[in-house]
Amino acid sequence: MEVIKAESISKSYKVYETKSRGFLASWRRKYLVKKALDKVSFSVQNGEIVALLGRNGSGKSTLIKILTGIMSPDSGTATVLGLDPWKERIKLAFDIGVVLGAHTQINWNLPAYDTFEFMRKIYKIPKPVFNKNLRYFVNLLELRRVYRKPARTMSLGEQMKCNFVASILHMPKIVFLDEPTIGIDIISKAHIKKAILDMRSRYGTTFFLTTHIIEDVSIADRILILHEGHMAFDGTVKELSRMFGNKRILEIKFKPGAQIDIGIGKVVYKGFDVARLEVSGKQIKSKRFADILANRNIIDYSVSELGLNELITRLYKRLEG
Amino acid sequence: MNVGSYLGAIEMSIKADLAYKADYLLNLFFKFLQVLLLIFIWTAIYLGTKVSSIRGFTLPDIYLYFLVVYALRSLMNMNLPYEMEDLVLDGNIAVNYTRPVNFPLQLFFMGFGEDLLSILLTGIPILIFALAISHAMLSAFSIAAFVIEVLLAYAIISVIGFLIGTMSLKFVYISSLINITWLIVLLLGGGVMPLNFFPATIQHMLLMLPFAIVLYVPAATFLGTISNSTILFSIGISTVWLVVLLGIATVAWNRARKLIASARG
Repeated sequence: MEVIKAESISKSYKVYETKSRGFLASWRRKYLVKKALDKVSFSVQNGEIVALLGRNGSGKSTLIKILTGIMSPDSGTATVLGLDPWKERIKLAFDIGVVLGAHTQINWNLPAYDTFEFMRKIYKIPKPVFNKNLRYFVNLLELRRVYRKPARTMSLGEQMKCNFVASILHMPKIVFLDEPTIGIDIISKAHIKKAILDMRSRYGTTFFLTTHIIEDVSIADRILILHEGHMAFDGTVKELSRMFGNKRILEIKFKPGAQIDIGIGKVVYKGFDVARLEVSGKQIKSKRFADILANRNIIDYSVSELGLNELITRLYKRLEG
Repeated sequence: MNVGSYLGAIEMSIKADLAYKADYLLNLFFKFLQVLLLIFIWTAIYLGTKVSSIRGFTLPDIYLYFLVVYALRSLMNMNLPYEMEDLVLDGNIAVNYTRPVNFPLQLFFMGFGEDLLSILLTGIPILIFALAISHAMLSAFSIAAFVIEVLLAYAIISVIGFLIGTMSLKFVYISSLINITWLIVLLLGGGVMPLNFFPATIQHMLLMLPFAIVLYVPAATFLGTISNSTILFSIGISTVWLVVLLGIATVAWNRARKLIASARG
């Protein structure tokens, strides 16, 4: 079942830039129209975890804002759980959770618990359900010793986790996360990832997240890559890898100073006793490959897939020509 | 209407205020100092000119007037636009807008929570004190009129504040605009001197504006220095103003909410 559907969404902003330098610069500015999204279409199935990637300014946040009803598209239609997010914002809001990593929901002056209680009233969560959900998240995210102390004394990781909880206490059907792990430590990151996976398997929650952190993508079933407002890729990591010819990285360690001619693949790095080559999946299976590795000058070797980091960097480079 | 969430908003802002009790109490004291300043100035004017009454106000009347004005100022303020400016500046307005609530109402009740606390801590005790020292006998009509005036005034000042606040979505920094608005309200609403002190023609004009009801009319009703017909006229015209301002605010908000997304981040 489709829970999010975007059809040919476009959105432009008016931005201004100053034409001159100096004290009077702010009087002399010209307006430019920047296309944040250009005919973006995609859909998300119920229970999917989808990661939206893209460079800064590629339109990720704009897309999330349109899907959550904060902003209306100039043209095209967005449908979330069968509703128009802009026109039926309040109705939709009961069934979605929105975590904007850079902005907190937690009242700075009070313990996070007070904000949770406030959310209970906003989302009309029955008290027993609230207690059950709170217990579930507090255990999952290890917040036991945190959520009753004033929010201003919490660490950034704790704040982010509490912010996450505040946005999902009502057990929404879809959770939108805009950079949910920005600036937090690996343990806290792992907690949030664990919570996402657990919620999905237990409640069938759909997650739509934007991130710059590649490890976050590992939990996604599918990735979308936005580039300058266009949908540049929509598929799995495997499919992205296939796009670049299923390349592998072969790293070999050889006797120091030994001259060896590999004669296969493309050398990406060569040092005194180590070399890194890019080879195709086909080449790895060839007899020639086995012969080369039998060379007595080679002490050790390893084969690995192209990392997601590398794949995405290559995609950006390709898109930017 | 999500009543629970509005009650929650009131509760949240009361709790947040009480988290910093010392600052909160000092702020109440600061407001008292502002009124004290006015009392000093008017004392100097009365004693310096050796007049016993100005336009029917004796010096004790003036003291009483500013005491009631001080009580009223616990409700009448510009907290709402400041709150909106803050939300725009830190970009949290977008997060707030993803919740299943009517955003302007939610903001209103947040502000009301703060005001509720100050009316309980200062407004009502001061009114009782003023009543005790004035020996005034309030008629049922004056009491009813006073309550209606205060409610109307609170609604008007909230809508004006909200209107100013929506500007922050366009211009981001609006502190100067808020301060100017507040000064206008104070001057034209009787916060600096009773409106009787203005020349008669100006006084009539001021009674036509939505500011008179904010401080002057309820204070004068409390002191019994205003005729019943003027009270009824003021209530009537203020109701019209409230409707007009609400209309303007609705239009302004429908335009401004399109700008929420561009507020930082």
